[in-house]
Amino acid sequence: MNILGTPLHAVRSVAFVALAALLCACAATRQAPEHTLPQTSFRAPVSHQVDAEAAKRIDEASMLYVYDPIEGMNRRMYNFNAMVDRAVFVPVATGYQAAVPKTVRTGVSNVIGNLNEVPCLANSALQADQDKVNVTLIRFVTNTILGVGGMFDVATNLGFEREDEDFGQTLSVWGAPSGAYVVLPFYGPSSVRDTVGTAGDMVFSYYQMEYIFDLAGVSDHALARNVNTAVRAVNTRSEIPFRYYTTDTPFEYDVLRFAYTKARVLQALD
Amino acid sequence: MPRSFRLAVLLLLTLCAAPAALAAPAEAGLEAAPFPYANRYKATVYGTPPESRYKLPDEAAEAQPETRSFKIDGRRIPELFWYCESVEYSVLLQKKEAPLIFVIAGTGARFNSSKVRFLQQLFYSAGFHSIGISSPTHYNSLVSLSKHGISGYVPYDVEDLYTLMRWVKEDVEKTAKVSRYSVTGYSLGALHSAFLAKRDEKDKIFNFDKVLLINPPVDLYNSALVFDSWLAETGNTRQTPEQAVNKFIESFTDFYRTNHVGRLDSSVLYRFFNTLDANDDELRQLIGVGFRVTAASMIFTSDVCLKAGYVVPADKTIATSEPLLPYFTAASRISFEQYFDEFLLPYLQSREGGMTKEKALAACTLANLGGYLRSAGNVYVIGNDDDPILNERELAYLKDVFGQRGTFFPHGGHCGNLQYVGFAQKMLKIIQKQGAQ
Repeated sequence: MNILGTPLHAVRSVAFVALAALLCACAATRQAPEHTLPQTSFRAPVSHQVDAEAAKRIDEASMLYVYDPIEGMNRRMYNFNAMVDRAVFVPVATGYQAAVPKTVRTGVSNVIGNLNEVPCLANSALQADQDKVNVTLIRFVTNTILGVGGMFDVATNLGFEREDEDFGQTLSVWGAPSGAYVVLPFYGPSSVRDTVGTAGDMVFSYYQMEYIFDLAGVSDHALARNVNTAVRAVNTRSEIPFRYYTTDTPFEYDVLRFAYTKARVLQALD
Repeated sequence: MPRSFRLAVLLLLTLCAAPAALAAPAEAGLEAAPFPYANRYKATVYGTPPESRYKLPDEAAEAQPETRSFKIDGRRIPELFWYCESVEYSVLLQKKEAPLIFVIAGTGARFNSSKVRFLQQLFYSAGFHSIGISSPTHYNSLVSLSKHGISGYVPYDVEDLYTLMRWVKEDVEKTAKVSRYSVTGYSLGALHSAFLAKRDEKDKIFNFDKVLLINPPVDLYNSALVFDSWLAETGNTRQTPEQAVNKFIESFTDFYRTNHVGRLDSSVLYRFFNTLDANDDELRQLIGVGFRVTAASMIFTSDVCLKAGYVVPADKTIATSEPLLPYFTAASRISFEQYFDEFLLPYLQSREGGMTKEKALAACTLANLGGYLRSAGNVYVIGNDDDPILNERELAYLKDVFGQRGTFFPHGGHCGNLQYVGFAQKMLKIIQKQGAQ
C-alpha cells in the first residue's frame, strides 16, 4: 500500500515516533516543598478591579475587542482544541517531520497545494478576479504537467506566486459581514461567515476528490477519503508553527482572536 | 481555515515586532551589510535585517533544541492555568563532552523566544551545550516555578532561577558530559546573570567560567520607569499609545494592500519597515506598549496565583471559559511604578521584616554589585552606546565598572543588533576567550 508515495514502513515509523513523543511528553517530577505556592493572607492594599458593568464598557473600547457573543463556548472549544493538539496533532506532526525526509514532505505539501488550486480557481472566478483566475490556472496547469502531478512547485520558481482564495473571502467580496467570532473544533479561529466558507470549501473539496478517485479507478472510496483527510491534516499541522499556550501572555485567546480578525481583513483586501 | 491561521500567527509576530522570529539569515558568502539603523528606537523595534545578520553554520541553524520540563510535586496551580503546570526549558546538547552555557531570556520572554533561540544556536555552533531558560517574569514561570508567585524583585527571581538551573544541571549531567559552566542573558536576563554569578560565589555549584551580560539595565526600576514615561501623555498634540499602535496596524494594512504581499516573510517585513513613516514619539510608544502588555500579563498572573485582589477580586476563581479582556484592560493601565508601590512592595513587606522601598530598590540594581563586578575577571558586558533603557550616568557606570571587559557598539538600541554580524562575533570571541580568570 502506498499513501501518496509514502511506503508503509514510513507510516509505521511515524506512528512509532508519535507514540514515543507522547510517552516522553510528561515532565520530570521534582520535590520542592518551598515551591508549592501555599495560600497566603496577603491582599494588595490598592485595588484596580473593575465591576461587571464597567468591564463591558471598557471592553468594547479596548483595542483587542472583537464581537464574540458566544465567548464562553468558544473558550471551551479553544481549550479542547489545545488539549487535542497537544495530545494528538503535535506529536503526530512532529513524528511525521522526524520520520519522513524533507523532500518527501515537500512533495506531499506540493501535491495537496496543487489540488487546492482548483477550489482557489473557483473562488477567484466567483470573485470575478481575472488576474487571480489567470495566475491560478497557469499554476495548476504548469505544476500538474511540468511538476509531475503537482509534486514540484515549478510555477512559483517561474514567478507565479500562489494565490490564497477561499469561500469565506468570496462571501466577503459578495458583501457578507464577518459576523461573530467562532472557534471551530479542530480548525480553531473562525467567524460565522468563515464557518460557512469553510463548509463550502469542504463540500467542494469532497466532490473534487471523489472525481479524482473515480479518475484514478480507486474502488474503496471510504478508505481513500480517510487517507486523504489524514494526510491533509498531518501536512497542514506540520506546516503551522503555532503551538497552543506558548505565546508570552495568559491573554492568548484574546490576542489570537484579534490577530485572526485582522488577518482576515487583510486577506480580503488583496 | 488553517492558512488564515498561519497568517494570523505571522501578523501576531509583526505586531509584537519580533521579525527575528521569521529568520531568513543572510546568504552564505555574501559580505554582511553594516547595522543599518542609527536611530536607537528604530534599532530596538526593527531589530537586525536579514542582510546584516550573523550567518550561523547550517548545522547550528538547523539544530532544534529539545523542550524538557519539571513539574513540582504538590504545587498549587490555579485552574485557569491548567496548561502550564510544568516549568519548561530547552536543551541543545553536543554529542561529546563540552562546556555548557545557560541563556536567560529578557523581560516576559520564554525559553524559546527568537533571541534565546539565536543565542543558543550561536553558542552551540561554538561547541557549547546550550540551555534556554524563561525569564522569571514570564507568566509560565510565575505559575509553575516561582516560590513567591510574584516577580520583579531581583533576589527572589534569581533564587528561582538558581533553583531551576541546579535541577537542569542534574538532569543534563545524567546523559551529557559537561566540562564547565557559563551563563549569559539579554536585557533583564543579563542583570539576572550578574546576580547569579554573585549568588554562586556562596554555594559554588556552577563556578561559572564566563558570565556575559548582553544589553543589561543597570537598574530594573529606572529602566521600567523610562518605558512608563513613554506612555505618559505630554500635551494635546501627541497621540495616545492606542492611536500609535492603530497607526502601525493601518500602515501595515496599506502596505499589504498596495504591495500584493503573497507571502509574509522577514524580507517583506523589512520592506514594510523601510516604508513606515514613524517618528521617535511613535516608536517609543510602540516599545512602551510592548512592555506594558508584558507587565499586564505578569501582574494578572501574579494576582491570580496569590489571590491578592489587585485586578481580580480576591474571592473570585476565574473559570477557564470566562472572558479575560476586562482583566487585561485593567492590568494594562497599571504603570510599573504603581505595580511596585501597590503590589510588589506591600508583598515584600508582608514577608520581610523592616523592608522599605529604598531597600527593595537597592536589591534590584547592578550598582549593588559594583565591588564584585569590578573585581570579577570572568564577568563581561556587551551593549550599545545608544541603548534607550540606559541613561548617561548608567552607561558611564557600566563602562567604568567593567573597563576592558566591556564592549559597546555605537548603534543598536536595546537588543536591536543582537543578531548583527559584528555583535555576534564579539559575543563568540568573549565566550571562547581562554584563561580569563
